[in-house]
Amino acid sequence: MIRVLRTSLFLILVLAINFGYGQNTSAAYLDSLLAIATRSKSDSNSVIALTHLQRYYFERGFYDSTLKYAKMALPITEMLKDKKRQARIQYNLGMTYTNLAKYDSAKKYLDATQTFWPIIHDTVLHVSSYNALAILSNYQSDYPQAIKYLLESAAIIDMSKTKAIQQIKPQVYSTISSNLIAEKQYEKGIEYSNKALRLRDYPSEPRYRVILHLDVFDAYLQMNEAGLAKAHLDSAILFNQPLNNMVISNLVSRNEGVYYNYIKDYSQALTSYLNSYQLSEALQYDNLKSQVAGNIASIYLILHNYEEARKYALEANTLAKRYKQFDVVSNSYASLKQIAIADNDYKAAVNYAELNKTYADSATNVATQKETLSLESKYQNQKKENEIAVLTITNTQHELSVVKRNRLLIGGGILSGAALLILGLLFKNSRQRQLLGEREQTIQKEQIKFLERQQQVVSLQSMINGQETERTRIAKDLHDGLGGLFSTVKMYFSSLQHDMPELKGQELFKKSYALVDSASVEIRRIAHSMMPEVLMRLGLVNALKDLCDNISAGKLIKVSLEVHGIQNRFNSNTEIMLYRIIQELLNNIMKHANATEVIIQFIKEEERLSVVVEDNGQGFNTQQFDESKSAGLETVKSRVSYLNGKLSIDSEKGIGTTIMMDFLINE
Amino acid sequence: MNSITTILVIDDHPLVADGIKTMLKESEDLKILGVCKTAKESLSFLMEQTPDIILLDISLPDMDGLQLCEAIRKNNKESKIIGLTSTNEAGIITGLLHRGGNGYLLKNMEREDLIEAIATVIAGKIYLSKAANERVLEQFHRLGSTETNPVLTRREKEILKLLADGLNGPEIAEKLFLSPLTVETHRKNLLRKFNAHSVQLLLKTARDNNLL
Repeated sequence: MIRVLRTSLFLILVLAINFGYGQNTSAAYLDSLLAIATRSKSDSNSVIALTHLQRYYFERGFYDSTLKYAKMALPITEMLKDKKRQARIQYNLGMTYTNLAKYDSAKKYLDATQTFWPIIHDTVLHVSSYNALAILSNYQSDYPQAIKYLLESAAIIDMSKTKAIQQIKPQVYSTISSNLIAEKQYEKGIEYSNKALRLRDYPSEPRYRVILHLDVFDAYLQMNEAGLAKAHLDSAILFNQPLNNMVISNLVSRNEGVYYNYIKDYSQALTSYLNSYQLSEALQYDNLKSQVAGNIASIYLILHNYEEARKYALEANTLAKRYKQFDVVSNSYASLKQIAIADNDYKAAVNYAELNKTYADSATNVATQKETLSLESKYQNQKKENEIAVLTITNTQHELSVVKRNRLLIGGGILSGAALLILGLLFKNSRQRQLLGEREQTIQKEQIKFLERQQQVVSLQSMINGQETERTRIAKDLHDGLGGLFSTVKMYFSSLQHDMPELKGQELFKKSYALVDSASVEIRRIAHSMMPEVLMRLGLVNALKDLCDNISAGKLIKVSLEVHGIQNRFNSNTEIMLYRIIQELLNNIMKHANATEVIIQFIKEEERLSVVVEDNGQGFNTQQFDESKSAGLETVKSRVSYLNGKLSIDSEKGIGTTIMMDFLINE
Repeated sequence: MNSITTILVIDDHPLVADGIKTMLKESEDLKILGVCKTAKESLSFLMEQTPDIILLDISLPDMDGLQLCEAIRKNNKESKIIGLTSTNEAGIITGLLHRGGNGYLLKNMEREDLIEAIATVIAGKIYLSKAANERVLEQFHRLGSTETNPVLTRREKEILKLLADGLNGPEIAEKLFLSPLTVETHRKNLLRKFNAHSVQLLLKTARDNNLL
């Protein structure tokens, strides 16, 4: 999976240039460009021609030509003192080197681009270069550094409202999305991709659409949401069709292969992978070709076509070694081992098994180093992350609280990470120790997460449980004890009145009688609001019906209840909790919403329970609701999280508020 | 009434039983056969005797009163069961009637209420105290006003319309500025509400019911 992700990032790189390049691709056009570019006299026209040529080849992935023309153009811009073009060409060189996985050179050119900023005031280029640096960091798995660069981009975008700048926004979102997906925050990653897709007038270039859809596809697949993943893959295929761009087609084919492999349609997967393989060959993308060859080998292995499997595994092996793709090498040895076993060549199998393990270790080692680096940077960039949360990570209160929690977790991670770093320094670079350290670090992180979660859940549970037990007890005491007493007193009065009709004329008797009656009614009311009998005896659905009827009976507000798919009762804690949630939300609506209609909806499908509470009231701003009004909502949120549910609010001024909650419930 | 009407009181609260006895002591045609404090006690009592009236509290220490009502009805079709409780929640009232109860009375009743209740159920009719009657009517009112079509939320209406326009989940998400997961939840909910297994069937049902 990680390899798929890498590939998507790779292509985002390729596309990260956005300087209005026309799609004129005819041979005559290229010839005329060449003619202008190679004239003896160098002027700004030759720079323009060279820049176009360079972009033409860049887009198609012919990086040698890209470098050649860019490097021809660079000295001319210097000579002409055309700082603006010089900066852009350096940027393009940076991008090209990034794609060639030559990170040092890439960094050199991108940093050089940055130095031009005070002179040329090319904001678009400035943002783009930060974004490119973010992608570069991302490609090297240094996500915190990537986030730092993204923060810079976001800050500039925020300050400048020009259309050109706003048009770069999707690129930044898209890179944020890739970062989030790389950090396994799939849902948030998807959200950012969607944000990019949704921006008006964007993506003006359909290429971006394809990439964004593929990103979302990748995230959904990692979340095992094959259906949703497929929908995005289909969109990507659709948008790709008219493009006629080999680079993107290659990527689409590769992802198609991944999808069909996932759904175990191996013949389709093979077709897609082979397609991608041919495109990689045509584009001379050897580092991509190695990965696809590895994929093809494993598919042939599944199909028991050992001859083809061997051929592709060997090719993947050779190429991956050249590009130091240890995971690919390791996997190719795993395939070769399987093939050897099928051939009954156990000696070779043992040999391959050992090689597989060695390279797997190397791959882990690289990952470990990156992880350590990443933790260090995380520490340095904590403040920046804080800012980016405010700046770019969006709106809802809910999301902010998630960020807060994440930061807590990261904080814990940093502490353990810092400790590990010191340990690492003490023990220098022993690989064994590093591996051990990594394992320990993972365990520690897990522990921190686990403890935190447990602590939260336990304290919340005991609080809520205690509360509800107490309420049940008091309600029962009121009903059976005090309620019974008052009822009996009333029965005595009633009998007394029957026996001595003259008492009816006694004012004091009449008053006492009436007071006893109101007292018993009052007790019943209090007991009911503490814990409705119907909830305990007949369950949630009946209790909700009662609740809705009671409120509707007041004639001010009509509450309708929609229940589907609930046949059995849930356990009593769950029922009480859900009932309280609805009670609280209805309370809020009656107090603040000024609504006339409310829909309460419980829909259960297998283990999924979806609860919706919708009103037609005045709505509110989900980001800034006032304290007194949000107290109720906070209680609801804590109850929702008690049930491990998710809550989202969708409120529009003047139209109403919809609160959606999703739970997983095992009866 | 010529003959004597026999009564069993099932209530774990000794005072309440006392109060009932006191209220009925003047009525010579009403006779309390016994008082049981638990469900177990009352079930074994009913093995031996068949009272005309059972005054049943729904809150008992060993069994839920509604369950007990059901249990009694298994072997005893003759006795008239009147719920006698402190709660007037509609769900409990109808719950008791569903389980074979014949009447419902609140504990803070008048003597006349009890007498009337007994007479009414003996005559083969259902008795509901005034307050209980109101609650049940409210529920019937809601049932009567419930449309046969499911009530749709705003988002569901929007999404149903967009589905009818031929958009898929991600496209709808894009259009409505919602996350695809949210749209997926709405879509699943719509299918469930219309008991449809596919979007096609959903759209057909919606069209048939003039919702589109």
